Amino acid sequence: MIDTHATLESILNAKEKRAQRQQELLAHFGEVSLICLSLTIPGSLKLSHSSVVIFDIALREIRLLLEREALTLLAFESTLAISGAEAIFTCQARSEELKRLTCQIEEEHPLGRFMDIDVLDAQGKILSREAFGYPKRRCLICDNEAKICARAHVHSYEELHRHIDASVQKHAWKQSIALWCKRAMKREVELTPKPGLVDQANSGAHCDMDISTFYASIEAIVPWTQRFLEEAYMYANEEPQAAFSRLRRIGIACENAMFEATRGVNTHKGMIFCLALLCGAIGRLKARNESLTCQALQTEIHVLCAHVVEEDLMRHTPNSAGMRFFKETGSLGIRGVAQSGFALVFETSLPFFRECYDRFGEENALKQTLLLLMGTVDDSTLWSRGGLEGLAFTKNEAQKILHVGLKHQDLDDALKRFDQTMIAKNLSPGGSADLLALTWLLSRIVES
Amino acid sequence: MNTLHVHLQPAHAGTLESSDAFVRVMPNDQAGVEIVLESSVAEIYGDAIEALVLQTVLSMNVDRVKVTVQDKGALDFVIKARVQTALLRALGVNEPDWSTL
Repeated sequence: MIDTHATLESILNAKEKRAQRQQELLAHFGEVSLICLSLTIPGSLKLSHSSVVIFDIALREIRLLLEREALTLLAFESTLAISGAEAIFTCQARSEELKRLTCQIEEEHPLGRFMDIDVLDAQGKILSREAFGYPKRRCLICDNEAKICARAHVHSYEELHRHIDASVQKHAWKQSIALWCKRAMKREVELTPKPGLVDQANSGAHCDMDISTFYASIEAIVPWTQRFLEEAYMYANEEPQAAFSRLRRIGIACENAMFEATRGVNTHKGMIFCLALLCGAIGRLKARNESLTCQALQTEIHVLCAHVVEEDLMRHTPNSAGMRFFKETGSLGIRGVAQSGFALVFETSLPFFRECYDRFGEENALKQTLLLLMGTVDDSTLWSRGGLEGLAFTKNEAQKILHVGLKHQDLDDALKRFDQTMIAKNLSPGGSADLLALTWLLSRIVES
Repeated sequence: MNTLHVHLQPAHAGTLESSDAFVRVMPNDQAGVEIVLESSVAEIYGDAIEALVLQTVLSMNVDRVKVTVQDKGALDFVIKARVQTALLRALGVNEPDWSTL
């Protein structure tokens, strides 16, 4: 089916059918607005790999928009046919508001030019972009008005399709990085056995979650990792502090999505903080056409959160474990680690992981690196459950096992015993787990 | 032999989506073809589109007709197809004989 040329008849029939379907939906639901998504793919090759990717991204963007604005979606239908991809969202919302919001996607998303997002009011009238102060749409390639350029046949279909493919390709790194973020979170939670943490064998020292809670949480977080990347890329000229505030706003929305997916359980709050900073740094570096080297990433993260310790820990009244931890012990916790540009990861855990990886393979390397992190990090998750005593116990125990240099079954046996003690003491090294996922993620995506 | 079609029912074809045209066909009292064009590119292409619509109507041997075209930036072959379909529907022809078009 893909890459088949559509006949003019089928394309025109699809448009009429779509208009008819819109009337049916409006007649059925009454006072609603419709968002109708199609793609601005010229010529008869409507269904290509590029158009499928753009369509998928557009659907995600619209769903995120509805979620963000808390708008009710009454019905959704979509079609992928040779005559093109299309979807209709039936929403309980004011059509003007929907048009304003969807115009933002068309204008601001890097692939927005290939999206045609119509909004129909309850009477079936298509709202125009111009009524909302947006200019007429430009040609896909040059700066001329699209309709005039198309009539004048300025560009060949081959040229237009090459341009679409190239734009999708240019966008691909964001989807790729988001997938690596997903894999990193899965790799971490599936690593078994882990002391005190949720893994495939048990829920560690947590009675309110298991591995399925983590899977649900990961699914909820992944779309937001792309949002971190996109916005950091789009607003790369912003001052670092403003960029940090922007990332934090997205991060809060991401946290809400996580809490909704887990029914209020905190599975990945610290991880979201790490991903926001990493993806933020990646987006800014990509916009400047710089390589994702360890040094560039560390510097960029450091610059991004140069004020986080002062801002969060010195000024605010404590409302998280990390803030209370600082207030009572003076330790900077994860914020300190972040403000150093994750020096602990770039300078210690990542080189260590790579060395273990080369000598003993990934599984062993992940377990050893977890122990290294547990033996080093002032983890506020540990402190909030077991106090300074629990923190000290965990660090000592992890260092002890690490120094023996166990392998294979011996290492697993030691980790299982450690797990039992941690469960008995109700201790969970959540912060170290986040940094382990971050270490693995970096080992996959940094360029040398 | 070319018969002149004069018995028309009101009919329409197309949509108001961008890159499409919505064409309405109505019987008219006067002889000839009356064309009303509303186009987002009327300033530059208005005359060309009107000529295209007229030519399409004439080639189908239709008279005493008013054709209203709301063009949303459609290309010529789309406008032509929408006019043809609207006329065929107005004439009560279910399946167009594509060989004659």
